[in-house]
Parts: sequence; structure tokens; C-alpha cells
Amino acid sequence: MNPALAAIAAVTIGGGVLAVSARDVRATVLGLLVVLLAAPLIVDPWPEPLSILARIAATLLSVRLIAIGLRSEAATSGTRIGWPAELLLGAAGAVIGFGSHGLGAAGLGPAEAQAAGFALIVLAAAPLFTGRDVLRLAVGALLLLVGATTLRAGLDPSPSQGEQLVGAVLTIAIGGAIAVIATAARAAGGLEAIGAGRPGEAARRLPDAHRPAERDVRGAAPSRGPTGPSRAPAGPARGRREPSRSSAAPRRTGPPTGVALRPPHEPSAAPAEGALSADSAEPAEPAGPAEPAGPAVAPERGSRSKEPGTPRRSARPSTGSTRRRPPPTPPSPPGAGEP
Amino acid sequence: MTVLPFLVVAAVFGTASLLVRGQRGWSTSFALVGLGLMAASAASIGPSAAIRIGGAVLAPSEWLRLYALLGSVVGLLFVAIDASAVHEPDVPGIIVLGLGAAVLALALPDPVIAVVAATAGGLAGILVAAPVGAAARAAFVGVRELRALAIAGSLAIAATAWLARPLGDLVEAPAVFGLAYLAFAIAVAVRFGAIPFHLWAARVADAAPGIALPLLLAWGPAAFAAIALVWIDQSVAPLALPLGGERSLIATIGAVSVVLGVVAAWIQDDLEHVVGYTIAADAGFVVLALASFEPSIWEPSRIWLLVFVVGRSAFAGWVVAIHGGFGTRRLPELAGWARRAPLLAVALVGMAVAAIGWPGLVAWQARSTIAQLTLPDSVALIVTAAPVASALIYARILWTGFRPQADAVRAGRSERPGWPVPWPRRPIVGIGPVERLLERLGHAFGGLLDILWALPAAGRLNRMPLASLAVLALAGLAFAVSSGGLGVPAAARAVPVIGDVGPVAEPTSAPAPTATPIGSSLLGPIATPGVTFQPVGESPAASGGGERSSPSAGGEASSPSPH
Repeated sequence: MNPALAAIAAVTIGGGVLAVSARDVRATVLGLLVVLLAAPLIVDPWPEPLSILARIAATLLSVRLIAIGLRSEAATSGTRIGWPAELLLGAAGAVIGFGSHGLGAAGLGPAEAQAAGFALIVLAAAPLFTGRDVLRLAVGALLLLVGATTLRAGLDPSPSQGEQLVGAVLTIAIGGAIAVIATAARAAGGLEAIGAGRPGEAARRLPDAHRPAERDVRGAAPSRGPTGPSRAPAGPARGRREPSRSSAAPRRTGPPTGVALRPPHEPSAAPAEGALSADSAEPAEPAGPAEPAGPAVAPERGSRSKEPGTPRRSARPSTGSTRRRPPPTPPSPPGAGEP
Repeated sequence: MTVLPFLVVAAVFGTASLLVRGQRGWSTSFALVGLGLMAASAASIGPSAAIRIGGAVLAPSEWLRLYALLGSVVGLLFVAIDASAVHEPDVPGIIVLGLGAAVLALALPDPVIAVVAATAGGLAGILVAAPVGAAARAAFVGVRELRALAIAGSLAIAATAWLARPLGDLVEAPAVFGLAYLAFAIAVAVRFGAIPFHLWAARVADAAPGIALPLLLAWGPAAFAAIALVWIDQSVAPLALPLGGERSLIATIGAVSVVLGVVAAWIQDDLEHVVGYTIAADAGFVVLALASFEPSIWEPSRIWLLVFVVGRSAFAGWVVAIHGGFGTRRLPELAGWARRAPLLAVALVGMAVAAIGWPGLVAWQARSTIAQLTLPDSVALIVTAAPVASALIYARILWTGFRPQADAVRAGRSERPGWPVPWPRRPIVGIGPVERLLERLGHAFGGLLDILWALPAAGRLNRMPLASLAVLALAGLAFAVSSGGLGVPAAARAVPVIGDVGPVAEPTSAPAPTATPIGSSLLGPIATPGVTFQPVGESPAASGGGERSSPSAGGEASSPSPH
């Protein structure tokens, strides 16, 4: 056993445990950073400095992309069994991997790499198949891929420079993919937006998840029927394109997020923001009172209308502190009127 | 020329197209220029011009050259259709990058590295599968695609790594080979979204733009499948191990995907779902091909891969043109579409003929051979005839097109060409012949300027006919490939010579597992301290690597084909 490689493998497994068990998003990203930095180093002989630099650069870019995608997100659902249990799982995987080095034949790489690979694969299983939010699922996918490549390092000879380069491309690609998914989830209401359209909710599934095409945005949607913009609550800029909205902000012509997935006969259990965080381990922020649930567009943080006369909307509508209550209208039950 | 210029152009222009994604005109322009350059560089790829970069060999082949060329041309037509129909952001750049990643994976002879590259290319597609601004479910779709890609990639990486070394005592445990073979074959089925692994692919059809569907579900997975075919051909098949159970399972998945994919496509109302399930049905033949260890599976499987990706791309382009013209993809709302878009009707008939074919056509023969080599006779007959049932799908769409026009169709765009401004009248007032000549010259110049100034507006006005023409070209390309044009059979048959070696067993088809595979990194030189760009050589003599022959070459003295 090579003590240095064993130490790096232990650090890698520790990063994996941190990534799958932390509730703080920053800690999760830190765990991913540790895994992506350390895993390529569990090879014997060590890669050339150029390869190491390429992997470090790819890791930093990948983690930076993930951090951009998770900007302003504070918490993820984390593990349900606690970090000690995750640590034990990882250790068990590592022991199995170390003991079965070579998988039936002589392994050409270090046994520590196979141990780390097994541990990462074991750690990836739970978030990959039972994850409740997009970040946990994505963390599981990343750990699974890194675990497989680390397992390969334990079975075969040390990767060539070309293979390190392709591995760096894979690192960037998965970081970008996680960033894109996290950004889409945040724009749709938060990391827990994964609950929308789960297989068990097939009957409530929206007919379409496409982004409105340029053709539709131009106003060629008079015949969109009951799911068109006319169902949204009346507002000054509703139903037409908002010139102030940035390209990253959602342009939505379909039903409101979250609430629209309830069946027509079922009243909303809580206002929109509360509903999105109902399954989260973190306590949901108190929702605004009696607002018709589900504003069609959850305002992006920092996005505001520059159109004269348009009332400025709060960046955090769930607090209810800056949101206007509809004065004269008798309060309807939550979710009433929603599809 | 090597494959390197193609990869560099794809990386540069794909990245540039994504960087300026906020300005769709520039993004599309970068992608168009990049695809044009990629087509040119693909045409000039030499089948034996390998190059070594940092210890890894990039070795093209005749089939790879055709794949890259067809992909570039189809990508050009796709971007044109997209720009004239719905103009989705991100799609042009992703088409360029995805195609580049697929070609990179195909050019790598070492399957361990190739599957990593193919997985990275698949991950790029998530950018269009989970677009910002779509419904909430898009994030869920994206993360499910990520999960499918990660599982498939991990299975493939583990399988290829397991067998890419001296086998030693492993040869005494056939279950090891069975597990590795099963893992890679299932990974291919997952990537294609073959039934029963189709749920994520069906959701992708909900969220991804229609023009990106062929890249996500056909072109990228086809590269992945080509790697698997070569890996099985070189690492598993020569050992002649009794893997009947595993092969039966893979064959069952393929046959079920073919039959049920056609049924599922027939009952769909959303045309993008029709495209998705026809892709799953056609991909079933690729999965079937993985179940055969016969050397004769080599040619038909690689023919079918090209026929399949080009044919389904044509169908997807047709759907996007319909969506752009009439604003809907739902068949009940498209009644009468053929009356307003006769060119698209002709294109649909052409691509239906190319997709179904007839006995004797290259595509039909490829399908038939794959089914006969992998299935019992009775089942093979059913599976071979199953694509004929897809005629019902096209007939249903055509029948809808000739019904009385629905509101969406009536309000949609027509294929009738137009000009945005009235043609100015320029009467000749000169008296003498010289005066009239000069006047005519001036009028000609003025008329030319009138045309040039009106061209952008004319392009916008004639979006539908332009998209229809591009779809017609795609249908023609699909028919050409399906009928064996463009040298498809020769490219599929060719076993080019490369220098470096693959990972595993010797090519003997003897029943005894006598192979002592040697990893490429053992035979090749240890990586040099710096990144090197070393031409590998045009001939086997110059390559210096060990020579092996693919079973598809009948064990003769030719070196293995990468992809």
C-alpha cells in the first residue's frame, strides 16, 4: 500500500461524503471540488505536471460553473441518513474495492484507486436514485462518473496525457450540465422543482415543457387555448413580452409553476412558495397571505421592470412584506381558479 | 488530412456560437460557418491519416469520414431549418459541439478513452434539454437525462476498463466477460432510449427543441454504439465464450424496442413524440446488432447506423418545419397541412420510402441481415417486417394533411413564395440606342440593388418555402443513404489500417480463449513529458504498432478498425 495514495484516496472519499451529506450548498460544492481535484491523482505513476495542470484547470472551471448555477441557493435537502452513515457506507465500499483489486485478474493500477472508485460509486447510489432535488441527483451523477473513471485507474495502467485531456473535457462537461440544470431549476422555482412531473404524477403532467419558440414569443399565440397567458393574473405587463427581462429570466406562457400541477379539483395546500419547499428539511419561509397562488413568473433576484408605470416587484415575494395585497377583492381560497 | 482540423473547428466555432447565444443571428452565423468548414475538413480526411496527441491516437476511417461529412451537412440543413422555422437558442452551437465530440469519440481507437469522450459529448446536449425559461419540468427532464448519461457512461467505462488489460485468470471465468458485455450493451440501450429504457428519452422529447432531438437521441448515441460494436468485435467475440443468456437478453431488448417503438409512435399525437419513438424503434436494430458475434454483422450494422441517423434527422427536420409554419405539433390541429405545404408532403413521402424501403434496398437488407443473425427465424421475420407497419404512421400524417384545413393551418404560413416589396416599374425614355443602352444598364444596376436590399425581408417572408426546401434536401439525402449512395456500403465494409492497437484479444475465432490481450499503453511508448503532435503514419509499416485483424475482415491480415 502506498501511504500517499491512500491519503489521497481518503481525502477523495471524504469529499464525496461531504458532497452527499451536506445541506449547505457551499459545503456540497466544496466536496465536489475536493473529489474532482483528488480523484485524478490516485494513479501510479503520477501524471505529468501538464496533465495535472489540465485537470486542475478543468476542475476549477467546472466547480465555478456549478457555483454560478447555484448562486443564491442556500440549502439542499442533504442526506436522510446522516453523514456518519454515509461515511460508513463509503468506508465499506472502499474496503470492498481494496480487497477485490483487479476484479479477478491482476490490477495494473493502484488498489487505492479501486477503493476510492468503489466508495464513490456506493456514495453516488442514494442521491442518484432517491434524490429529491436536482442538485443531489446531479451530485450523484457526478460521483458515479468520477467513481467509474477512478475504478478504471485502479484496473488499467496510468492514463496517458490524451486520456487526461479527455477526462478534463468530461469534467467541464458535467460541471456545465449541472450548472444548466440548476439554473433551469432555480428559474422554475428552486432546486426542489424536480417534484414537478415526477413519474407518479403522470396524470397531472403538463402537455409540454418546451421553451416558447421565437414564433410564439412574437405574439402568434392567440390560439394557445386555455393554457395561454390569459390565465395568468391580470397585471400591467402580463401577456406580452417584457422588454426588461434578461435572457436568463424565464419567459413563460404556460401555467404557473408549481400550482399548475395540481389537479383542477384539488385546492392548493399552501401558497406557491411554501409548496415548493414543503418537502425540504429546511423550514419554509412564511408565505404571503392569501395571494392567489402561483404568480406566473417567480421574479428573478435582481430582475426588475424598466417599463415606466410598471410596479416594481419584490425579489423575494415569499416574505410578503413588499407585496401588495389585492385590496377590494374578497379573498379566494388558496388555489381557487387555478387549473 | 487528419481528423484534427475537424475537431479544432468544431471546438472553436461551437464555443463561439454558445458564447454569443444572446444574439441569435451571430450564434447562428458562427454555427453555419463552422459547419461549412467542418464539412470541408471532413471531406478531406484521409482514412489512414492517424495522429498521436499526448499518447492517444486519433485514427480516422472511411466510415468515420462519411459520418463526419453527413453529420456536417445534416447540421447545416438543421441550422437552416431552425433559423427559418422556430429559431431556438443554443441549438446551433450544441449541434456543432455535439458532432465534434462524436467524431472525437469515433476517432479514438482505445475504447476506454472513446467512451469518456462520447459521454462528454452527450452531456453537452443537456444545455438544450433543460433550457432556462421552459416549464418547471424541464429541470427534471435535464437531470433525468444527466442520470441516464452518467449510468450509461459509467457502465461503459467500467466494462471497457475491466477487459483492457492482460486477462490472465479472467479467461477461466466467462461470467466476467458476460457481465462486461452486458454492461456495455445495456449502456448503449440506455443512451438510445430503447424500450424499456425509454422514459428519460420520452421526457427529453417534451423539453428539448425538436431540431436537437436527432443529436441527443441518434447522432451521439450512434457514436457510442459504434464504439460498442468495435469493442465487442475485438474484445468479446473472438473469445467465442458461451454467452447465450446475455445475448438473448440483448436481442430481446432490441426486438421489443423495434416492435413497441413502432406501436408507440403510431398512437402519438405530438409529432415530436412520434420522432422520438421512431428513433427508439430504429435504434432497436442497433441494439440487436450488439447481440451478434458473427463477423458478418460488421457491415450491416454500420450501414444501418448511417441510414438510421440520417433518416431520423430528416423526419425531425420535417416536424420542425411543420411546427414553425403552423405553430403546433399536435396532429389533430394540423388538418390540411399538406394543402398549404405540398413540398413538405413530397418530402414526407420521400423520407417514408427511405425509412421503410423494400427488399433489395440497402437499408432493408441491412435490417434483414441484422435480424436474421440475431433472432430465430420466425421472430426475425416479424422484426424485419415491423418497419413496414410504420407506413401507417406516415399514412396517418398524410391523411391528416389532406383533410379540411384546421384553424392553426389556415392561420399559419404557406409555402407560396413572395417578395416583400412591389417591383418598381422603370420605363425606358431614351431615344437613341446609346441612351437606351445606358438607361438599361442603369436600370439593371438599380434592380440589382433593389433585390439585394430586400433580401433579408424576403428571407423572413419566405421562411416556410426555405424550410421546406431544406427538408426536401434532407429527405433526398436520407433516400440516397438508404439506397446505398455516397459510398455507404463501401465505407461500412472498409477496415482501415491504423498504427496503434486496441486493448484486447487476438482476432482468432477459435473456440478456445487463447487470447492474451495487451493494453495499448503497454505496447505503445510511455507518454512523453510534453504534449506531442506526432503523425502516426499512413501505412501499417510506418505505424510500428502491433497488427491485428478484425473478425469482420475474416481474420485476414488487416489491422483493426477503430470506428
